Amino acid sequence: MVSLHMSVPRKKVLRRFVERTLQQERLGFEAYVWAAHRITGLLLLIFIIFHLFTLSSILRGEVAYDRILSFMESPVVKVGEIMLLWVVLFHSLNGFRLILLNLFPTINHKRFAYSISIMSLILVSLSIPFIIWI
Amino acid sequence: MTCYIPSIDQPDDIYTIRIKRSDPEKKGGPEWVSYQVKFVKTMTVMEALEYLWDQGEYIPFRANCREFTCGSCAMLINGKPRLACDTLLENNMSLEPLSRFPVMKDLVVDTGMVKSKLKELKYWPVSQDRSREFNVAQRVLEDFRNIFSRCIECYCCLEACPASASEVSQFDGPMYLLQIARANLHPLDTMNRIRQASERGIWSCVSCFECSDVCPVDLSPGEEIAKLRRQAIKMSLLGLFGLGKE
Amino acid sequence: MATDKNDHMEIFLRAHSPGGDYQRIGLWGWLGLYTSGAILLFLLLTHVGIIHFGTYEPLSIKTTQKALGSPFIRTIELSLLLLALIHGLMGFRRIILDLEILQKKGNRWLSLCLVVLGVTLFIWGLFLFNGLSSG
Repeated sequence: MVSLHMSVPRKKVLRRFVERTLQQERLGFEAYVWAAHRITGLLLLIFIIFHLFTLSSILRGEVAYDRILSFMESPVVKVGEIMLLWVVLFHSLNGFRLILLNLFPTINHKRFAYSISIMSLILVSLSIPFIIWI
Repeated sequence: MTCYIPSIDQPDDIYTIRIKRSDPEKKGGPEWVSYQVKFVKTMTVMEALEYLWDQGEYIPFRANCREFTCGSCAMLINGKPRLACDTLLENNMSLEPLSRFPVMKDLVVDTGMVKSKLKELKYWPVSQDRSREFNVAQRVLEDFRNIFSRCIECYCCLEACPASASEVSQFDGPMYLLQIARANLHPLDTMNRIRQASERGIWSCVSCFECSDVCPVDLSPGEEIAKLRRQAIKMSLLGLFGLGKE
Repeated sequence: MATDKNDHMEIFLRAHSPGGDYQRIGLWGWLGLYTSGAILLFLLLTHVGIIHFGTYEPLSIKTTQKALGSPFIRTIELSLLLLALIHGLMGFRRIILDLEILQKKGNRWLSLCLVVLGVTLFIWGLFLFNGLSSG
């Protein structure tokens, strides 16, 4: 197929994104949301594999598993859990917004995106004492 | 050339404007040059460029209607693709030519490839029989009037889209998909536009809606692409189960 | 707009291009990401609910085994594993394809490797699951 930008030097999406950010050009809000969605997705993928690794202690016996579980009660892990909660909330709520936008394409996306992010903020702030308490 | 409404001899302020100038025929890359511009209220970027012409700085730029209807004056203003006649002048603005096209000189880019791309897409209604009768639904008429006929082909959406940035991708840009969506709705068109759109990058679109953000006539190419995706999924699922309209 | 019935099949066949035409993701990849994401939203909520309401403090092997005794919880956890792997690896593939650092053949190899990785992780997860539920 004939490519459109034949005389433009070949630049890859990520390099261009990084260059534009470094030159402090003002990218739109949406492009950052897109980038954050991808980054959180990668982080979550790494987390899943890491989670499988920690669960694999079961294969070394029950004592090892109990030890790992008690390690999970330590405050470092609790803080990590809260950060994980933020990452999960962002990725899942943004994903939810994308699903809705593709199902009902005529929703005003800007207003919707803002209301979703505010909703998620309220959710997180309400759930933190909940989690610590329970 | 100039069309300031208030008098330029009593300026409200002196603003600086930075322009990325380049000449592909000369050696050396592009360079940023600063100019001082007398500022009056409601002055637009285009008027600033015309002021510079009046002062003897002949910086080439495209201009035609000067009322955000023709789409000629699109450029990157402070990094965002906007129409120069539609943007009010601010201090320390930076002007660059559109980066997706080869630069002819300073702020003028070569947009000839758009025409060949649109020809390749056959964005006119493709039909064997132009004289056959048809009925046009009211909603289709309204869509044409409110959505598709507003596109001024300014290339702002092409510039803003992160997914069509590279040469290797088969995603040409949101504007082309908007034209395919328009051809899809035309009652005389018999080509399978959904298949064409499916090959032309509706799946590469990441739904970031940057294109809708920068559109100067408030169109939403992202929305039209999402609608095309829905239609393609519907048709594929129907085809999978062997159903489908005749 | 007149469309042929045959065109439906054509779209189906042509939109299924994993690495062949260098369509980055195609129809089925996109649909897979979105549907698995939608189901994951629901599964995630129930998973968090299970962890916080279905198990008792202090967590130990006994509480995990007790929780995994119920078949409802078992199905939720297993489908969470499966769908999270599918969604995550498909998303990873999309990111790599969009960065365009590989060519056609590289893309096919990438898809193959990710499928292998996904199957391996899933089988490993099944082993862990077995160990957690029976002990």
